[in-house]
Amino acid sequence: MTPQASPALPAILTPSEIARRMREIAEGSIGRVWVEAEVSNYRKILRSGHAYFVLKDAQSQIKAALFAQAGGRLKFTLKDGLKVLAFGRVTVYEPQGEYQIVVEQVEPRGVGAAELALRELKEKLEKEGLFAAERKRPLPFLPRRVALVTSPTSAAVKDMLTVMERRFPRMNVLIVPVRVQGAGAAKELEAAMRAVSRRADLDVVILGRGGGSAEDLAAFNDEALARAIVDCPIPVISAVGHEIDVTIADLVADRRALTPSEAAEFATPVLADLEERLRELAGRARAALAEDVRNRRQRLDDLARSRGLARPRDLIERHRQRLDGLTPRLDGALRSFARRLRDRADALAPRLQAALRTRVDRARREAASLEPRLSPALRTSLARRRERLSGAAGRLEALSPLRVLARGYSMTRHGRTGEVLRRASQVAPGDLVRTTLERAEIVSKITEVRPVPPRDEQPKKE
Amino acid sequence: MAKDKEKKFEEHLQALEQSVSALEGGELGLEESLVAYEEGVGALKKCHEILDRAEKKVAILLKGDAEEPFENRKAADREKEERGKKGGGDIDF
Repeated sequence: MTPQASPALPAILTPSEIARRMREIAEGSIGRVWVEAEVSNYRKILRSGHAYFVLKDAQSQIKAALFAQAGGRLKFTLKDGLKVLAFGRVTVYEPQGEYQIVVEQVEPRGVGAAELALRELKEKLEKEGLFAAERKRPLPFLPRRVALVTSPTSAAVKDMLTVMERRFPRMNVLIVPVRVQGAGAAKELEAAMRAVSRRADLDVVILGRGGGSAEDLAAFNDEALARAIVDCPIPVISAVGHEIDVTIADLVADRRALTPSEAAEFATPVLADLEERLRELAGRARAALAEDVRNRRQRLDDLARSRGLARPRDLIERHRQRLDGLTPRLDGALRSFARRLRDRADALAPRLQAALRTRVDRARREAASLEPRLSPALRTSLARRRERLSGAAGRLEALSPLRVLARGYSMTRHGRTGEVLRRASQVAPGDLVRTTLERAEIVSKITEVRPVPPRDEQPKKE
Repeated sequence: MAKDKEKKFEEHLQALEQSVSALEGGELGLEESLVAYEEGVGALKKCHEILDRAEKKVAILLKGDAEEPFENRKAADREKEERGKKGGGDIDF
C-alpha cells in the first residue's frame, strides 16, 4: 500500500482526513463572502455569548456561527425571519463534518446602500458643525405664532392643537401642510421650511411627522431639508417621532421632541403659569418696596436713637441738670446779698436820722437868730402876708362844703355809682341813695321821682 | 425684521425679574428703588398687554402665502379632498 493516489485504486481516508480536506477546499475556493439570506433557527448561548443560526433562501441553507466578539459589534438584534446580508468565512466544522459560515458582520438587508449614504451625509453635516450644540437656538418663551409643518390630516395635528389649546388657549397657529412620506415628501418639507423662513409672523416651527409608517423616515434624512432647517431664521422643533432612528432633521433641529405632543409642549408655555409668575413677581416687587421703605424708616429710627444724635439732647439735659443744681445756690446767694444790704441799711438808718436831726436843729437855730436882724420893711411885709394868709384861710373855710352842710343843706349821691344827684333822670324808684349831712349819712330808697319844672332860669349845663 | 421691532414677552418678564431682584437685593437708594419699582410695574403691564393681545387662531397656509382658517374636520375627509385636488391649485379644507 502506498499513500500515492492511484486512479485505479481509491485511497482509503479517515473522516478526519476528509473533514480537513473539505475545510481546505471550502476555505480555499469559497473563503470569505457576503451571503444574502434569511435568519432562521436563531439561538444564543448565554454562557459563551456565541450565537448559532441558519442562513437560508428558498432552496438551501447554511449553518452559521456568530461568535461573541463579532456579535457584540452588531447595531441591531438578529432574529428569525430577518433578511440580512452576512459577511463571513465559509468553513467546515471538523468534529461534525458540517460546513458552515463563521459570520463576522451582519447588516439588515435593503438598508445597506441607503444606510451607507446616510452615514456619509451625517458625517459631512457633522463636520460642517450643523449638529453642534452651540448652534442650537433657545426656543421662544411665548411665541406670537407657531408654525406646524406637518400633514394636516394626521392625528399629530390634532394632538398638537389639543396640547396647545390646553396650555395656552389663545395660541395662534399656522399649519403648513406637507406630505411626510413617499415620493416628493422631502421636497415638500424643504419647500415648507423655506416658506416658513420667508414669513415674519412666526416665532417657532414644529416639524412633525405625525402619522406615516414607522420605517419610512427617508424624507427627514434629506440634505436639502436639513439645510432649509439650518437656514430657518426661527427655532425649529423636530417631532419626527422615532426613538431609535435619529434622523438628520432631528440632528439639525434646535430641539428634538419624541412626540408631536411633546413638541407642542416645548413650543407653548402654560398661560396659567405665566399669570401666576406675573402675580408672584408683582407681589414680590410690592413687598420688596414696602420692605425697603420699612427698613429705611427703621434705620431712621435707629439713627435717631443712636448716641450720635442723642448727644445734643443729652447735652441739653446735662446743662439743664447743672442749671437745676445752680438755681438754689443762686437763690441763696441772692438772699444773702439782700440780707447784707438790709443789714447795712439798718446800720446806717440811726446815723442818718441823727444827722438829719442835727441838721434841722441847726437850721432852726440859725432862723431864730436871723429873725431880729430882718429889716423893718421886710418885717411889715411879712406881717401883711401873714394877715392875708389867715384871711384867705377863713374864706377857704367858709367855702368848704362842710360849712354849707353846717347850715342845714345836705348832699345826696347815688347809692351805687356815687354820683352827686342833680337831675331826676339820675335815679329811678327802688334805687338806694346816700344823703350826707354835717355829721351823719342817711341811706334811703327812692319810692318816687317827681321832676319839678324849671323856673325862669335857663337850663344850666355842667 | 418686523418681529424685532417690539420687545418680546420674555424680555419684559426678564426686565420685571431684574426689577424685583434689584428691589429685593436692598442695595438701591430710595430714588433708585422707586425707579426700579416703576420699571417693574411698566414691564408687568407690557406682559399683561401681550397676554391679553394673544388671539386664538388656527389657520392653514395655502399656496402663495395665503391663509385660511383651519377647521377641525375629520382627518380622513380632508385627506380625500386633498388627494382629489392634487395638482389643482389651492388646498381647500
